[in-house]
Formats: sequence, structure tokens, C-alpha cells
Amino acid sequence: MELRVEHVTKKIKGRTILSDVCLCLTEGRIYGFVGRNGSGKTMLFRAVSGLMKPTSGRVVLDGKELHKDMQVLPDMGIVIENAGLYRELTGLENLKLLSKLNKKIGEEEIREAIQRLGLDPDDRRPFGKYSLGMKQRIVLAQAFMEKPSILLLDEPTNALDEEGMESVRRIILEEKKRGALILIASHNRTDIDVLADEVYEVKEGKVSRKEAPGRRDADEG
Amino acid sequence: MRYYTRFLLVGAASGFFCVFNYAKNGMAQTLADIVMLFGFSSADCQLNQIMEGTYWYMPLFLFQIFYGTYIYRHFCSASIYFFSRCCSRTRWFLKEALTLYLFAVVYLLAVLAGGVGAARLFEPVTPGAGFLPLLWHYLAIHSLFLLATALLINILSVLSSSDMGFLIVEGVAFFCIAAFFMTGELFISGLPKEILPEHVWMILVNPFAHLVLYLHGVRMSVLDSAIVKGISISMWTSTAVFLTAGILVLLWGCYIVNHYDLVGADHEAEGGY
Repeated sequence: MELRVEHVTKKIKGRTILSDVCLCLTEGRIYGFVGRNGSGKTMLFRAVSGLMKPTSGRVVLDGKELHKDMQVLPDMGIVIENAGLYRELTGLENLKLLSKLNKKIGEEEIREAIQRLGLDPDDRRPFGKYSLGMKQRIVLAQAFMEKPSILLLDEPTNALDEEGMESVRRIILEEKKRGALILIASHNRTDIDVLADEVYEVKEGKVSRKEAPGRRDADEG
Repeated sequence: MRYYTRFLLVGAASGFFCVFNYAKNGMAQTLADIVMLFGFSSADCQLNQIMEGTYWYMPLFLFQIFYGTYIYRHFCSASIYFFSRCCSRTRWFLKEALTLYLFAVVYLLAVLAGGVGAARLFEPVTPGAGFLPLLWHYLAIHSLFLLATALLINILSVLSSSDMGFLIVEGVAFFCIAAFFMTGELFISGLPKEILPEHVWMILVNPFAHLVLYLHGVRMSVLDSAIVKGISISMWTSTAVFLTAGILVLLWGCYIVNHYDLVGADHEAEGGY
């Protein structure tokens, strides 16, 4: 599987949010994106996923062009910072509702995904009453539950305690082993150092390659 | 879905309360009478009847309040996670619009059932002459009106906010109601009431007039005085008006949902962290 981002530019109300972004991403690898707040990381993920249409340029997955051959990337799990779920539904109800859209998995897989993130699928509290950490875990569970071949994770360890972060990093590495193509944007230096095979810096909408973290290369070496 | 089904009960309750007083005064003896009441037959076409017209508009107004977020809600909470799994937004939108239409039909039946319930408190209700064709046309016209307006509220909400979507559509609706009764005051006169041919277009261009069943040449036993001579809108014309409006709104909605960038966090914030 090859995901190519070709000269993607996005302008909103005359302001350039993404500027001529080019990337070539392959399965079984983790790509880390770093940058300051408002640098364009989240916008890049939205453009790559198909949730936002670029002003120019294109995103191509195995020869198929986004917004031409498909509306969103198929078989994709996504986490976007500050995007929540239905407040009045429980975690399990939320995930069941979302899974009905493409009917790939049943309740058993959903329960497994919730437990994998360290939550109780039978918790009757609505999502709106969850703590920030629990919200983050359930949102991550929705991204992982269908075992997608592409994962876009924007600040995946936000609001998690040390143990939670470790657990999420372990799951991300498991997903990589499964062969998923993973994009991570994070302010957490450890996330990038521990997980990313390649690191890109996003600055004022421009994306440039940074040195690969030594530890990752050493691990694989 | 379950959340929106409960509003059918509110529809039945609104139908009950609307008809109650009229049934007490013997104005709802047959099913045909009740359908005609919901078709604004007790609101004579003159300015002092504007409150009467607004009164019978309430069940439709409530539908627009309750179902004005039926599609829009997907652009609020969990929109990122919802649309990242939605392979064809057009197919999804058309399916939602169809469900919304079915809700409109069942809601109108619930309103009628509530009205019949109120009438039965005072005397047995018989079908009345021409009940079935009247019911058929009432459902066709009013359900298409509800579909077009509720869809429009949803689409405008996506583009701006739910408050704005609702205010724009209801603002226009109440303007049309006011314009209808003002037109009647100015141009319909005499007894029996009559409108001159050169003024008929003023009625025809008002969407609200197409909801008013007595302008369609339908007569009922206890409200004959409401009949206006010189105008008889075909039921099929009114159906076609709202069907066309519904199709146009549907096409516009398809365009909007397909081109809507899930960029900002404003809509999401309602259901987010």
C-alpha cells in the first residue's frame, strides 16, 4: 500500500494553511509529525483523510485519487484532537453506532477494542461524564476497533497518565506490526522518539523531513 | 432514531390540544372536519384571523423544531468519526432525507390521531364525506412542506448554526402567514368572500396558501363560510409546488454535504470535550 500526498495546498479565507505538501507513505511504518500549535498538523491529517478537500494538489492511495475515486480514505482509523463523540451515549453505544456505518465488526470486537484501551465496555456513564483520559481512550478505541490499514492519530497520548501513554504506545506498535500505515502528530517528544520511523516537521503549513530518531533505527537495526 | 421517535408523541399531544376546544364547540364531528381544521379551515382569510392561522401552524412548527437537527446533528458531535466512515455522503444524505420524510408522514398521522382523540371525548367521530381523498391530499401536501422546510433548516444549520437555520426558515414561514392574511384583508371581500381574478396570483405565489385546504375548493359541513370564491388551487398543483421545493432543497443539500469541509471545531464543540 502506498499513500502519496502530491503538492497539497489548502487555503481558507485567503490564508494558506498547508503549502505544497508532498509525502510518500508506505504500509508498516510510522510517520511522526511535529510542529507548534497552529502549524497545520491537524489540517494535514484532515486533508490526507479526505475530511477536507485541498485547494490544489491531490492525495492518491494505490493509484486511486481522493475526492475523485473515493470520498474518504477507505479502511482508515482517525483521532483528531478535540473532536469528541456523542455526549449522551455510553462509550459502547458510541462505538456501536459508528461501527454500523460500514458494518465491518460486531459487538464482540467493539468490546475487545474498549478493553484493549483499559476501559470497561459495560460502563453505563455517558461519554459527556467521562474524564478527559477516558474520553481519549474511547476515541482511540474507535480508531483501532476496525483494525484499519491506515491510522491517523493526532495527539494520541493527550490527557493520558504515564501508564496510559505506555499502553497506547504499545498498541500503536502492535498496529504497526500488523502492517498498518500510521501517521502520528504529537507534542510529546517521547511519542515521536519511541514510535516514529520517519519524522516530519510542520511549520507554517510547510512539511519538511527531519532526521530519523536514532533509537528507532537502532531498534530495527 | 429512538430519540426522534419520541417526538411523534409530542405531535399527537399538539393535535389533541389544537382540536380540543373546537371539538367542544361541535366543530370536529367527522374525520374530514378534523383534517380540514389542520388544513387551516377555521382561519378565515382576513387580518384578524392571523392568530388563528398561527394556532393551527403550531404542529408544523413543532416538527420543524424537533426535526430541524435530524441531519445537522451528524455535523456536531462525532462528525469527524462519523464522516471518516461514510464512503458516500450523497447516499447517506438521501437515506436520511427519506427517513425524515417518513417521520413527516407519521408525525402528521400522529397529529391527526391526537385530534381524533380529542374529538372522541365529546362525541363519536365518523369519517365524513370525501375523507380518504382529503386525507391523501392533506398528507401529500403537508408532508412535502415539512420535508422541504425541515431539510432546509438542517442544511442552513450546517452552513451557519442551528439557531440561524431555524430563524431564517421560520422567519420566512411567518412572513408568508402574515402576508396571506394581509392579502385576504386587502383583496378578498364581499359575502360570500370573493377574490378578483387579477389578484389571484398574490395568493398563488404564497407557499402558505398551498397549505390552506379551503382554497383548494374543498367544502366541509361546518366551515362553509371559509370558502373563497374566485380561487380554486388544484391539490396536484400544491403537491407539485412542495415536491419541487423538496427536490431543489434535496439537490442543494447533496451539494452542501459533499463539499462541506470538516475543518472547524465549532460544530463539533457541541458534543466534544
